[in-house]
Amino acid sequence: MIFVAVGHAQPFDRLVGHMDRLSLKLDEPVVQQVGRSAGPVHCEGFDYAASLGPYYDQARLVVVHAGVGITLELLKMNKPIILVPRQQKFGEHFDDHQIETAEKFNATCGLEYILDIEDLTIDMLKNYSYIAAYKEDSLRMFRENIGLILHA
Amino acid sequence: MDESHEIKDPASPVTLLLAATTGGHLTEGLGLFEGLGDTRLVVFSEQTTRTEGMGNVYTYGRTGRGTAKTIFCAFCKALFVIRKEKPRWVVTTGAECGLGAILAAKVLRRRTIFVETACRYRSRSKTARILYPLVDVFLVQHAESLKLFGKKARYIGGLFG
Repeated sequence: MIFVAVGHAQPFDRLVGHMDRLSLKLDEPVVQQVGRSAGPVHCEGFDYAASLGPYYDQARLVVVHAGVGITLELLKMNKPIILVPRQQKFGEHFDDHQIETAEKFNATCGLEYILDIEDLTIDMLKNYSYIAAYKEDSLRMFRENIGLILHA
Repeated sequence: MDESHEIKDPASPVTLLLAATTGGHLTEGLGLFEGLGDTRLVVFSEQTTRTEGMGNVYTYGRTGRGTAKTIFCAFCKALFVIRKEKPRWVVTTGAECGLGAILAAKVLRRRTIFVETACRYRSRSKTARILYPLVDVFLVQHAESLKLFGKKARYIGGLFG
């Protein structure tokens, strides 16, 4: 199963619609958490769930907007992830910070990200299996140092 | 610095009030500060289905993102929370909730920390630009971000990198 998650804040019709169309050509199910986005029509979808954990567990591949929280959660679960950052020019967010997030995850973990939605192809979805490693060094460093600040 | 409301016993844990708008800001704040040794974490955020299920949390009603009214509501509720919990530090990862809480902390003379979101490394958030001159400790989560701010900014690690 390919799981798509786009959060709740704003619609992400570009990704939801694209994955909906591609689902017709895939030989495995596509399930989409769509938030305020329109559709989907051809595959299973829902607006909101208290926990997305069960969907992550079942998914072979997760295609997700470039939110830090959801990406870190998936990295820790050792799931193959493709990031599709929301872009201001499409009205998907108030600025392009999700592109920065995707660039940073790409640089530090090698996560793949898509800017032009047409680059998210059937072949890519069928064959993608890269599992990026989450490195805790930076977080460990933060927690050691913040302890010194808080207790000073 | 008004220390009159602060916990003085050195054996007591440091109380930390984490103020963050629900969603990514709160996720980042919890990822950074939850479970630290010798600290007691109190959360201040918006009233949502997520925060309803949390322990040790204070919430305020959401009135509309980015509005002065929302910040004012957060400020008023934060005054109450800070007086009641007496945190040594008020910490925020953004956005409107953090603005209101830091302003309240300044009024009540509590020490303050702002942590810029890990989402950014080559741009500055609006909250960061506003709070940079106000907070006692200003942290970024990527070393490259230091060049975006003045000398007060520090990099001590972050959620990933």
